[in-house]
Amino acid sequence: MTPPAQETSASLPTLLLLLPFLTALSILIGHKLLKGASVVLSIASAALCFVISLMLLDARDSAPILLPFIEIGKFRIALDALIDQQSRGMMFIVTSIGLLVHLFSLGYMKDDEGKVRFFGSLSLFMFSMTGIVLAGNLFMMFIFWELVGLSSYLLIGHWFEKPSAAEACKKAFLTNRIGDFGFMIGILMLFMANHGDVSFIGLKSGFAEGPLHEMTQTHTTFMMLAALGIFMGAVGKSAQFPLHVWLPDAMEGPTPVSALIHAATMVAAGVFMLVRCSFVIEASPDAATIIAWIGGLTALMAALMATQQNDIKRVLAYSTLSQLGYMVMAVGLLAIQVSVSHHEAGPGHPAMFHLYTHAFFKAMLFLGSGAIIYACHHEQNIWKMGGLMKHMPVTFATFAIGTASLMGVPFITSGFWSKESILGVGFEACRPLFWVGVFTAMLTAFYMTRMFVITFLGKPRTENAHHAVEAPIIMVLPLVVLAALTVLSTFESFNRLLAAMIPNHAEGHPTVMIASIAALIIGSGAGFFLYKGKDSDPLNIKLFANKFYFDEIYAVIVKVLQDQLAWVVTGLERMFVDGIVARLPAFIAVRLGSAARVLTGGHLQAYTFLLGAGVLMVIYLVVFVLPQLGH
Amino acid sequence: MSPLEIVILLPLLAALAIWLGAPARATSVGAAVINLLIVLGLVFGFQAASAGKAGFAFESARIVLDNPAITFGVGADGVALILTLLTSLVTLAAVWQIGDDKPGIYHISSLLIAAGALGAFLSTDVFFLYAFHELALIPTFLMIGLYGHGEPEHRKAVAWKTTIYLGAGSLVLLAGLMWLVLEFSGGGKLTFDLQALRAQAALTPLPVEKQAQIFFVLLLGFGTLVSLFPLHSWAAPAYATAPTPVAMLHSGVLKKFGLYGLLRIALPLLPQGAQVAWVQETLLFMLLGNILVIGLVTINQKRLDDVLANSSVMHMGYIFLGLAAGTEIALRGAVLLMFAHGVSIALLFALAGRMRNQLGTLELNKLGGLGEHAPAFTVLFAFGAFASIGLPGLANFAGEVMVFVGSFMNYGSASFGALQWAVVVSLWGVVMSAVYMLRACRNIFHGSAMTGLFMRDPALSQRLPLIMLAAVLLIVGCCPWLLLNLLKSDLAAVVAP
Amino acid sequence: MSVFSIEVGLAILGLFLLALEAFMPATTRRALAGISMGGVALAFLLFLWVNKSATQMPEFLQPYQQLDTLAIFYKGFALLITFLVLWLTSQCAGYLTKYTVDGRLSEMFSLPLIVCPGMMWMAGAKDLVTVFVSLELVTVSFYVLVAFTRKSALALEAGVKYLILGALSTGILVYGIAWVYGATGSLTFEGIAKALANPETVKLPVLLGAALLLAGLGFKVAAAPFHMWVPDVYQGAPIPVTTFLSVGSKAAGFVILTRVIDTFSIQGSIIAPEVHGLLLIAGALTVLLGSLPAIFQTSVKRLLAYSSISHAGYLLLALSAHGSTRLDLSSGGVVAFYLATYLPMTVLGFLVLAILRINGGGEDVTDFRGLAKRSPLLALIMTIALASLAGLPLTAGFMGKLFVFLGLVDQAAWGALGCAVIGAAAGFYYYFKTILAMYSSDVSSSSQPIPLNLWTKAGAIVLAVTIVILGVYPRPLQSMLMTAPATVSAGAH
Repeated sequence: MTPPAQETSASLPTLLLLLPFLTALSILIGHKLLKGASVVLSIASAALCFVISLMLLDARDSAPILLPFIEIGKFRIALDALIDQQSRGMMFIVTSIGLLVHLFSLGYMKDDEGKVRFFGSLSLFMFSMTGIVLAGNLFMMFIFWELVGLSSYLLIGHWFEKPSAAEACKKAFLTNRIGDFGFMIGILMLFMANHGDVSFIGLKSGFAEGPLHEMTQTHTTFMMLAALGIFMGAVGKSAQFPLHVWLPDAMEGPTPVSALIHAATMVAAGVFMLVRCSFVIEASPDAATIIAWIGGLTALMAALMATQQNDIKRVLAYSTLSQLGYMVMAVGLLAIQVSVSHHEAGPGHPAMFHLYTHAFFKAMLFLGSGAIIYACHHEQNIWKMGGLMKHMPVTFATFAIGTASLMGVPFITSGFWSKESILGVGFEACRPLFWVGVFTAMLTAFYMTRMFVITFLGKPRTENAHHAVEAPIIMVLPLVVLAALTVLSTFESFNRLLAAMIPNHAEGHPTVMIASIAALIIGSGAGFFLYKGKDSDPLNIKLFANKFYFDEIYAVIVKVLQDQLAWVVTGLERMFVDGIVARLPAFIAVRLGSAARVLTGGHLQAYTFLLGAGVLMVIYLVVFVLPQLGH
Repeated sequence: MSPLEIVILLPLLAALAIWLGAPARATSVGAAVINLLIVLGLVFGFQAASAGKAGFAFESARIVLDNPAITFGVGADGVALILTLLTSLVTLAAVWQIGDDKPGIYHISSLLIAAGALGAFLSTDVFFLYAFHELALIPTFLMIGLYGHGEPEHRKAVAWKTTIYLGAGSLVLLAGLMWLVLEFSGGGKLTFDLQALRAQAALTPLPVEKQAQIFFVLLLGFGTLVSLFPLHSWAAPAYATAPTPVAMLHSGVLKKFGLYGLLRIALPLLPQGAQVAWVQETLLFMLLGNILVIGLVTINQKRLDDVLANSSVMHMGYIFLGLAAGTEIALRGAVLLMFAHGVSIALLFALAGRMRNQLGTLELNKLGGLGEHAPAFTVLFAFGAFASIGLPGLANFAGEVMVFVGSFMNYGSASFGALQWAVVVSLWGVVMSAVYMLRACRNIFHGSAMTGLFMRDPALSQRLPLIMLAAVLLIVGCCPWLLLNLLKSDLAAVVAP
Repeated sequence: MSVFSIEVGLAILGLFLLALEAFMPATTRRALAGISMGGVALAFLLFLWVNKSATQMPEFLQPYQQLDTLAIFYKGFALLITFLVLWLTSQCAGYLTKYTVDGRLSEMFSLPLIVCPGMMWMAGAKDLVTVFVSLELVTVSFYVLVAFTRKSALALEAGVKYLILGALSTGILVYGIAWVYGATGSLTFEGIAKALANPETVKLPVLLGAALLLAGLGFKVAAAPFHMWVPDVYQGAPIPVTTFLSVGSKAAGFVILTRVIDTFSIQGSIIAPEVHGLLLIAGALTVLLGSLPAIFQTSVKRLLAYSSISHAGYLLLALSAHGSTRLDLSSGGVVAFYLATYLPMTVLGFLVLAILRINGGGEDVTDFRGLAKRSPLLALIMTIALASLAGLPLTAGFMGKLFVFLGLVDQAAWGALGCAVIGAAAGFYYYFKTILAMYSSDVSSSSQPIPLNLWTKAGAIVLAVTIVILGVYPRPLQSMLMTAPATVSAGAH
């Protein structure tokens, strides 16, 4: 049931997996001895991981078993890797950005007393994320799925004495748990349907000609539910509507964390997983449609929210949401297309393509915002910034590249190509969603321009902004490198090396290109002229600013469906269960007991009477009653 | 003399020694350490000792009565061994963390409870399997009634409720066991010996309906001891009130006796009985009660000890789910879960007890910010908490996932039966347990410290047993096969045809 | 030399002691105690030795006395309990004399020596006349013993109640015997059994006789609804006498009951079903009426009285399993076994109670507070005794209950089993109440340690160890009671 192991290639992935784990463990155990050394250790392991992932880039496809987990007879849940172009590419993204963020943090967290804990958690995250990327079966995927949840919990809650941070990390973990609830159900359904084989290879063949093949025809509902279950995992992890609420709050974590986990890698894991399981989605057009629409909805909604945010990190957070929505939409759309026109999808997947490009420039944008926040003494409100262009030239430059990429400036930015490919699929698979995408693109251009203008142009609005100076080299360096990577990933040659996807619809439809360019121009133009030289927001749309009141609505739901329900149930349990099972019998026994005491009340006359009565009773019983009960 | 007999007798002798005036702490800890070492030795020697033979390893039997045939027989298979290991681990931690200011009765009763559990797990004779469990009744009663937390009236009331509830439960169980024995020794000589009974069951199985009836009685009896809904209402108050070592041992170890009994007696002897529809559905209904109802009750709790106590009741549901599924995977998962739950809940109760001593309160909304002052303590608690909500990498997850997977083994089917739906519901329970555990963590460790509530990390000597438990959680969580390999084919026999 | 001569010898010794006290008041209590205890001890040793050699009664006794396993067991039982009671009396002498007229105690040492042979004769009785005579010998002596500590109002009241009710029940018993004789034309168990096995016998008069007979015996063994005298009498009587009543006289009552039941439910007996039904009902009722009111008791002595009622219930239920082939023990054997386990735990309970009294304590649960501090040994021993009374495993009490329950499950008497379970569950409450008190730290009236002389210690430890041994290794006792089905049934066909 597990793919043929290739021992030759097992050692590298195993090392890749265990290295960060051991680092985290040794930091947990020996942080007292290691002290500062633990930081070095963590960074070193990140660097090594990067090297290994480079070595893996030209490794051949294989499915080695890394470690045993549960093995009973023919039943086995093992940690087995699946090394193919997808995981190789993703691994490069994770380790490269991971390394850069480690370096950046060295500066950003310089005087944080929780520095050691921070780096320990980072290593734990690297471990979990590698696990997801390497995972060769759904159980292993789930295991690390939850572990990234844990590390994200720890990192968001790094400043746990802040109530907001404490709440945020709790919210993130719980929201993800809800997603994992569906994910596990989906896994179990596939497990059942595919006779206990949930390795990706096994499932693929299962869909091709195995037991799942006819089920896709015979039991469409079952397959749809299974697909949606799997998808629910992604909804949680990639913060899709309706479970998107945790991601903006996750910005309570240190900015490097936001860059690594909540922009580039972990939140993208949902998309990565969906692409891994694309055959499940392709098996059920209904599921594909639902997924596409949820993605589109998220993209649009988040973009709308982003237009009214004033916290630099939150703007980026919502744009991340929106872009993730894009990717999920792409997954759905491609699945629709494949299931409609029954030809195998090409090697490329627009969602993955966008994932890669987005990873680079979004990480860069976050780190850039980190540098800005650092320079402005932890000021995050863009209206308290301004005119940073001349104070922080390098940051400005890199940020500009990132912004351009995100808006999708034609031909010269990677963001353009990846977005093109998505819109391209949308244009063929589902027109309405295509237009949603275009509109979102316009909004993206709008809010990015808005933020860019307010932050960098004009003049400083506060003292902090006035005295802002360029961040130290250790923080600037990663920005530059990421900028380079962003630009590089525009070129096909680089993407090949990355095995990042060449959009399988090489030449986009003219309408697509025109539409997206138009969107860009309209959006950025509006943003530029609306916010040029403003000191406060001219527009004021409560609905967007308050994120469509999702938090408020959910707060009510939780209160009613959880806390109050719990209160009621507790009352009922005490009253009835305990009452009927325990207290009632005790009560009866006591009552009977006190009644029986009357018989031994102490009066001789009563006794003699009772004796007589007893005799009569016995006689009556023996002579008249018992004989009747025919034995 | 079998090493197992030593393992059982050692705590008893230690208790006697302490009663006679031996230094309490040294004696009990010493005995616990020696026991743990012996048990570890047995674990490593198990493969060799049990190689190629069907029944139990390290066997010995002493005849106590000829008819009904009762023997003081001990022997270990994988299941028994895993639970013995659990017992010796928790016992060591429990007696270790007893403060020096506490009277000797703390140690004596802890040792008696441990001995009772060990005897129950290692007996190969139904009579002693039952008898040893009762050994814990009076110590538990006295410890809760005399040294429990809260007002004297309250703890006395709890002690009474627990004792009478458990006493009544075990009487029902006794009736069921005797019915079983009488049915199986049809006409001939009565025997309480498990092997003999199994042989009988294999030779002449009972009519299915009778099996179902007996199984149900046993389920009620054992279920009461495991706080199976709706027979659970003794458990939460008992654990919340009991002194720390008793809470650790009772919820961590002794409670597993009921499950062990079902696994060891009911399922193998009445295989079809467990599969009969009405039994199945009743069991599923009950265990979902544990998971859903008690889950919500737990969410509603305001004190840490209540949260832990109720959560421990709730988690029994998952183990019962494994028994209900009845596939080999699920049963092994259930055993693993028994072990994991025992370790994690013991760890949590130990930490909660320490908090109570240092802070004087466990009111969640009165606490906060402990993470700053007591990082090591926080990490240890996190281990216990995340283990108990089934985080991968810690022991409980492996067990839970095996239970779930084991319930989905109706391959190729494209529709859910009652069992599968039960799993879906229990999965929601996993979310609920995350809710109350994270809430507790957030209230206790996060945020800023409340004024007047200050707490330091325990000294290393105090930390050691807790670290041991946490380490076990991690090791078993990463390499569950370490324990699973011990099970070999024990449970294959149990699986219903 | 035969068992009979031992019995007669004891009786004579008893009379001699009575006379001795009357003619030379100077004799010290110690001497009396010494002589009587020595006498019983000697008798016991002789009894053991005799059993090895001659297991036959002298020729002239053959029609009235038999010497089957059951008889031998109960004779030994009688000797043992008598010895223990005398021992207990010598322990309590100190405080008992406070309540007796001019501090005399001699009858307390001499009368048991007369009771003992009475009980021994009951054990071997083969016909209803012997039963009646020996029974009266015992009962009459008890009338004196119960009221012996005349200065205590309770004792007097107890004496009066016991006298009047006892006399009444005796009347009923005789009346029942008369009816049975009239209906079956025989007074020997064997003859009655024959008549009952014969379908021609008219059923109604037999039923009536049986009902009256069982009612009369029910009074002696404190079976509901004839248990009402027990709490008052047990509470009023001096502790040694209470012990004697609740162990000795109960045992004697049950040996007869065993014989009677064996007779009534003989193979093919016409009244077997009715008797069986009556036993189940009476047993279940007795358990409940014994256990449930006990929940309220605050006086340990009274509590033990109720406990002895509920134990009588279990014994009746044991008898109801007549003819169960599954165990090696007949129902009579189970009863004997149960009583053997019942002896040490009850004696121990009363012993601790007595020791508390001697050290100026009362008989209430509150007087047990802090006992664990005052005397850890005493507390532990009492815990064992109470655990055994409550029927916890690994103690003698559990083995007895196990056999009873097995019998009930075997005959699928679910109702009775239910009552038994309820009774046992209630037992957990009222027995553990005392345990909790003993270990509770808030010391009550007196807190000074309790001195224990060597003999007390030794005796108490021996009894406690017996409880545990019987609990984990009952094999010898059981094999001793094997083949216990009374010879009557054999002789019937």
